[in-house]
Amino acid sequence: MALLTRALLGAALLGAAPVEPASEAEVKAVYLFQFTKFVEWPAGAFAGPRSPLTLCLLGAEPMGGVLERAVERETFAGRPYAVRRLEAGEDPRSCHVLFLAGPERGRLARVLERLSGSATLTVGEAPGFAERGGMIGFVREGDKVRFEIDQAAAEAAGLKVSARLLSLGRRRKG
Amino acid sequence: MPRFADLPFRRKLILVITGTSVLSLLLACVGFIAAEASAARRGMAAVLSTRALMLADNSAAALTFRDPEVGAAVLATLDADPRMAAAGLYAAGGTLFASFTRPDAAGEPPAAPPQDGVRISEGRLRAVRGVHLEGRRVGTIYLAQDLTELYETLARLVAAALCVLLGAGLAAFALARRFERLVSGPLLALTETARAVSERGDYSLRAAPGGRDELGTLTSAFNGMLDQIAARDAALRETAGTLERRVAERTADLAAMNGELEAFSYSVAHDLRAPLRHIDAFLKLLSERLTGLDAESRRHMDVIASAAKRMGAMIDGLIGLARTTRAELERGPVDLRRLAEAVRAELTAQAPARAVEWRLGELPEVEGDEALLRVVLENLLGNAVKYTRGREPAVIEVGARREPGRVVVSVKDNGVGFDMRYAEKLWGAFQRMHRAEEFEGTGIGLASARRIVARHGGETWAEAEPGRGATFRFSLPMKS
Repeated sequence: MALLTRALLGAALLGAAPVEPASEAEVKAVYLFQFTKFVEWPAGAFAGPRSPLTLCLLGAEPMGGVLERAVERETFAGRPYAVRRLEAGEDPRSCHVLFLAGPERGRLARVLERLSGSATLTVGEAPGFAERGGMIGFVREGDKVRFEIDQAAAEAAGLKVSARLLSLGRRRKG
Repeated sequence: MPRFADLPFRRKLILVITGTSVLSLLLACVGFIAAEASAARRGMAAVLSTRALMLADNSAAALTFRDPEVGAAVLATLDADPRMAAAGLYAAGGTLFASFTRPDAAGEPPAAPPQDGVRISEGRLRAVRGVHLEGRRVGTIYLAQDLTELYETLARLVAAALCVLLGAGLAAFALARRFERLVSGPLLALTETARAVSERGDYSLRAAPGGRDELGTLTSAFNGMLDQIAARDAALRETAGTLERRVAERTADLAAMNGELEAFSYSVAHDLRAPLRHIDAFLKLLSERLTGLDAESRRHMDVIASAAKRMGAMIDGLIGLARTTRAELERGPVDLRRLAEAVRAELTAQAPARAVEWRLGELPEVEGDEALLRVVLENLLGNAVKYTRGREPAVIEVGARREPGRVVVSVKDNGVGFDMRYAEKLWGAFQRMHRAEEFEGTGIGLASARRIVARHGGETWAEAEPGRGATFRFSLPMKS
C-alpha cells in the first residue's frame, strides 16, 4: 500500500503537479531527474549517441526506488537513463549526475577532487553545498525544497546550465 | 421627397453618378475594413500565441520545480505591455499555479485552464497554450489581451473610410455637376426648343444640332419633323389663302350678278306697267265703243281684261319683291299684336262672307321695319285664309314663343296643308303648290316673307300634312 502511494506520488511529481505533501526525499529524487533537462553536457561526456545518461547516488540516500521509477522509460535526447548506487571509493567519473546524500563534509572535497576534469553535475543536500564546490545544493525553505546553483562550478566542469533553471536557483556564485 | 421619376434630368444624372460612386466606394471600404480587421485580428492572435509559447518556455522550469514565485515573476514581465489584461500558469493537473492580473483591468485568469487555442470572448483575445518540457506537457499557460488595440485599429479604419467616402462623394458630386452638362446639355436644349415650339407655336425654331450619338439623332429627327410641319403649314396657308380669295371673288361676282338681275327685273317690271296700262285703258275704250258685240266676243274681251289685270298684279308683286331686297330697313319698335289685328281686319273686310275663327295669342313688341313686317303678316295670314277656304269653320291661330335670343311667331291653320317633301320649295319666287285656278296668287308672297325675315336676321320654316293644315313660323332676333 505504501509502495503504491509512493508510485502514484512519483507519477504526480513527474507531471510537476504541486501535490503536497510528498516526502522530501521523493521530491529530491524527482528534481534530480528533472535537472538533467536543463543541463547540457559536452559531447565527449558520452561514449556514443545511444549510451545512457547515468545518475549516481552516493551515501545513505533515502530515495528508495523513486528515482528508478521516475527515469524508467524516460529518455534524454534519445538516451536512456541509468541509476547507479556508488560505493564509497568507487570512481564517480563515469557519472553524469552525482547525488551526494547526507551532510558528508569531508567526503565532498575528496569526490570533487576525483571528479576534476569530468563533466559531472554534482548535486548535494548538505548545507552550503553550492558554496563549497558543489554545483546544485538542495535547500529547505519552510516545507518546500529549493536549490542553489553555482553556475561557475558547472561551467568549469564544461556543463551548461539553462537560464531557466538558473532563474530558480536561490543563490548563485560567479 | 419628390419621386425620382419627377426629378429634373440633370439632378437624376448627378444623383446617379454620385450615388454609384459613393456606393461602390462604400462597398470597397467595407470589404477593405473587413479584410483589414480580420488581418489585424489574425496578427494579434499570432503575436499573442507566440508570446504565450515564449512565456511557456520560460515558465517550464518554474512549473517543473514547483516554484510559483518564479512563475509569477515570469508572468509579471507582461506588466510592461498595457494591453495584457491577465495571465495564468496552470500545473499539469489543472490547478492555477501562478497568475498575473493588471490592477486596472477587470478579470482574473479562470480557475481551471480553458481548452488550448486562440479565441475572442467577452471582449478579450485569449490564448491558451500547453507548457512543454522535453516533449512532455508540464502545464498550461493562459494569456488574455485587451481588444482596445483592435477596436482602435477598426475605429481608425472606419474614420479613414468615412473621410475617403465623404471626399470621394464630394468629388464625385462636383465632377458630376461639372460634366453632366456634356450629357444633359443637348437634351435640355432640345427640351427647351420643344417647349418653345409647343407654347408659342413657332415652327421656325430649330434645336442646335449635337454630336453623332442618340441625342444628336433625336435632335436632327426633331428638326426634321419641324421642317415637315413648317412645310405643311406653309402649303395649308397658301391653299387657304387661295380658297379665300376664290370665295371672295365668287361672292363678289354673285353679288354683282344678283344686283344686275334685280335691277334688270325691277326695270323690266316697271317698264311693263306702262304698256299694260295702255292695254287696260284702251280695252275699256274699245268695249264702250263696240256696243253691238256678240256674247262670244264680249267674253273674249273679258278674258283679255282679266289677264291684263293678273299681269298687273304679278308686276306689282315683282316690284314689291325687288323693293324688299333693295330698300333700306327703317327700323323702329313694332307691336306685332297690333299689326296682326290690323291685317286680320283688312282680310275680314276683303272676304266678309268667310267664316273664320281667329285665335290671336300674345305677340311681343319687336324691333324692325313695320311696313315690311306687315307684308310678312299679310302674306302668312292671307295664305292661311286662302288655303282654309271650304273649311267650316276655318281656324287660324297666331301665337309667339320666346326662345333664347329670339322670338318665334307661328301662324297655324286647318287648311289644305302640303306635302313636307316640298317644304323648302314653297319659299321660292313663283313656286306654287296648287293650280292658279284652285287658289289665286302670284307665287311671290312667301318668297317676299322669307326675304324680309332674313333681312331682319331671322329664319322662316313651315310644317304641314296634306289635308290637315299647315303651320308657318318665322323668328326674329330679340334681346333676352
